[in-house]
Amino acid sequence: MTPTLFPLITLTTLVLLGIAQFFIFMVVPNEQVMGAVQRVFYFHVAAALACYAAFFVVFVASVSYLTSRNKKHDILSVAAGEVGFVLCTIVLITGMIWGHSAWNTWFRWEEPRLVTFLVLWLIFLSFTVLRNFGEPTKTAVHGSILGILGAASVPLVYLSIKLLPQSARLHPEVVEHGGLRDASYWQAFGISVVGMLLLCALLVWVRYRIGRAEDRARLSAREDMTYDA
Amino acid sequence: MTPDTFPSLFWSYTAVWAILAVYIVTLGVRLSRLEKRFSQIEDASDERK
Repeated sequence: MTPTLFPLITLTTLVLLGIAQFFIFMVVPNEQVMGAVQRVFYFHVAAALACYAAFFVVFVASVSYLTSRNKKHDILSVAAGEVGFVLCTIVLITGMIWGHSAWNTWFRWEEPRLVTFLVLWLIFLSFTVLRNFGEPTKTAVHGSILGILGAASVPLVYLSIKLLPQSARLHPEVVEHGGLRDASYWQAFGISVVGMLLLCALLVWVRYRIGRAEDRARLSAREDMTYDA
Repeated sequence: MTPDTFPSLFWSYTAVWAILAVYIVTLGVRLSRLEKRFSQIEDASDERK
């Protein structure tokens, strides 16, 4: 990303997220059964899609690192995993607040989507802790395997709601069942998704640059130690 | 009658922006630490010269 492109994409992201917030709070009408809290849907689903995109990057970068041992791919996988984990946390917390308001429960252990998503969150919590607190050269291979395992569980999260009978479900399928009938719903949803995907890409890029710089600093420090010896 | 669920909506979006803000601040802290580290490395190499 060139120095001129970065501020442009940052500005576009902020404007899109601002417009999305305007639509969510001022334009879209209240849902009849759940009321205002249904408006959580727009950022909840957008953050979920962005975190799945980040985990896809983790998958590709981790496979690539294991086959090529290129350090850049490892740094990219760490960056995408960390940003994906942050977005995953947003999805989990907004989902719990929404669930408590709409269904009077913070979490239900019998609900497949909630449990599989919690497992995904725990995998990437472990990934983030391992990669941030472990020695980078020693944790790279194990981290890549954990990243692949975590990313591979994303289809399970998606399919969990479809494979089980209706009676076991609490989580709605709004888009798949044509739940967004008003045009403003689609506008708010589309802008939220694009804004969140851009935000995800920006954060991954910034975190990747920090990772590269940290790696350079480590190498320089090692060279200094060799020189002193 | 539609229930009044606005407080939950408010707390949800507060959580979204708070989590993002905390993450961006941690990135900023890491960046400033890196700047310090690089300036220390530069100082050390200047001393050697």
